[in-house]
Amino acid sequence: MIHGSPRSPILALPEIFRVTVRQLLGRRRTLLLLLLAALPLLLALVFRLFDRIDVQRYSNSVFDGVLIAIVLPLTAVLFGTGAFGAELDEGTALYLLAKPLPRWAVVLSKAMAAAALTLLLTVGSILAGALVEVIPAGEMGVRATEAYVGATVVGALCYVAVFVAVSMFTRRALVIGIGYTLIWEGLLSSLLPGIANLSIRQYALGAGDWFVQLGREPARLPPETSFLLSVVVVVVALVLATWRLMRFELPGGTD
Amino acid sequence: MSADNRVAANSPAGSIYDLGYRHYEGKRRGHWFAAWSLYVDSLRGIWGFGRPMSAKAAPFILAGLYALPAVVVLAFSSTISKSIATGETNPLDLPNYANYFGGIGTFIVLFLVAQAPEVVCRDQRYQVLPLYFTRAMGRFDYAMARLLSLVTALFLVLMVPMIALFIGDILMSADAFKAIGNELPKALPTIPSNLLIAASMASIALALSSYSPRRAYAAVGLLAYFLLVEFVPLVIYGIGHEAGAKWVDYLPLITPNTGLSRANDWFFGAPIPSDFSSSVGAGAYVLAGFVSTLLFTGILVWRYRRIAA
Repeated sequence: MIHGSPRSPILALPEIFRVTVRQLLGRRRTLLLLLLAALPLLLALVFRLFDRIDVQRYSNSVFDGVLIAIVLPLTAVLFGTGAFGAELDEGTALYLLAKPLPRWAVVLSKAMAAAALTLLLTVGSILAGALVEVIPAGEMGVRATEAYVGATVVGALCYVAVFVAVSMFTRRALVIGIGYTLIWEGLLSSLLPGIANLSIRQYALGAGDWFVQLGREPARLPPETSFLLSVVVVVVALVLATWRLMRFELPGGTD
Repeated sequence: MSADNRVAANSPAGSIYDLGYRHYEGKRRGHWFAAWSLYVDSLRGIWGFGRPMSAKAAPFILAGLYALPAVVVLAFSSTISKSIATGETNPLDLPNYANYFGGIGTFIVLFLVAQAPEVVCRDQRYQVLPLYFTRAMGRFDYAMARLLSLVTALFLVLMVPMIALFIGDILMSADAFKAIGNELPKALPTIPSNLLIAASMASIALALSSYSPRRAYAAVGLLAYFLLVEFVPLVIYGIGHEAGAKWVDYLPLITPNTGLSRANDWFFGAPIPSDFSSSVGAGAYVLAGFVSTLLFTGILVWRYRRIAA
């Protein structure tokens, strides 16, 4: 390896991915996230305990109210800001950036690791809940599951991309992420409906409506707009993150 | 080294190894004074006094947002009372002393998410706890001083809109002194009810925050707790109630916001809303508030007994 022709830097991508996944998982907060992700399953069991198969009510209160509104943003903000933020905090980013790798590849593999873990937790959580409570309801249940899996995938990708980018610009990314979720998407967007165009939660719900629209009040954005806006958000966030990382000064370069 | 210093070396204050520095001869004020100083310092810290402007933004903005509806209500009810001249009853079910917290308690949660980690997390992150515990102040004193300062700060936030409503209602009537006599009995329960809210919410927030040295992660944990413990029991209660199960009637007792809103109903003698089971009275919610306060205070004290310092 030492004397041979240099390997393509792209081959380092899976390695960064693997390392990032290990960094993100080996923390106490991962336990908390697992607990959160288990909630839909637990609530589904409670619904069954009362002999209820009520797709609309379960998916509105649990999938929408708990998973997409609370668990998804929290998971994405922890993984998204942790993917690069932890390395910046601890100073190990130096070793990563000193390698002859294109910076976009670093950003991409970090973001992919965070997104993969977020998707694993949230989509797994939805599927577990759906298997118990929603899918047994038949055709309607399958459609509902598809809708919420679709919504979660779109939401997870957008949240993670945005939070990875924010964590490159500021050390307070976690606080900003919480504030955004709580104040912007939680409080303001119910007061000012126009905010929907700038709310990842609404992109996710809009994307879910593409599959089936379940009794809940319709998402504020049509599915096509949601898809378009979410692609724009992901691309812009990743480009900004790369741009920022390309201008990243290694500490101790001048003195 | 002179002969004086060798004499000093035999004194009880420094009998092991005395470099000859001057000893403290002032008054020693003991652990109560130390705890009081920490209390005052934490209270100032929560509001950002003695810190840069950016630290004052979150507490004041959130406290202001919590008080905002009271001001709006005053504007509304003054025009309404002028036009209808009923005065006695609120025609529009506007926020009043009893239902104010239940209406916009979200801001109280936000205030705690922003400020509770501020109180306890940094001491662990920068490992200064040993500096506290080697002084007159014990671990119990530390925990209680921090907790009481957060309770005080939260009580202030809760009372500002109450006082605004009180003053507004008095000034709206022609005879101010008679209005005070009418209004005071209605307003007085705000003090015990808001004390319970402050003690209960602050003890939850501080006990959870004390488990993380990083403020941001403590904030995430608090947020998850307040949102999920609010929401999940109510979902289970909703379906269980329809299915006719009895045990779910007790679930709303553990929710922070809803439970304390029902406790408010007890203080003001208001009826429990019809979507809550009548088998659990308003008094039970007050009891639940006390139990939760004790439980989380216990967790906080236990945490500081065990923490490595």
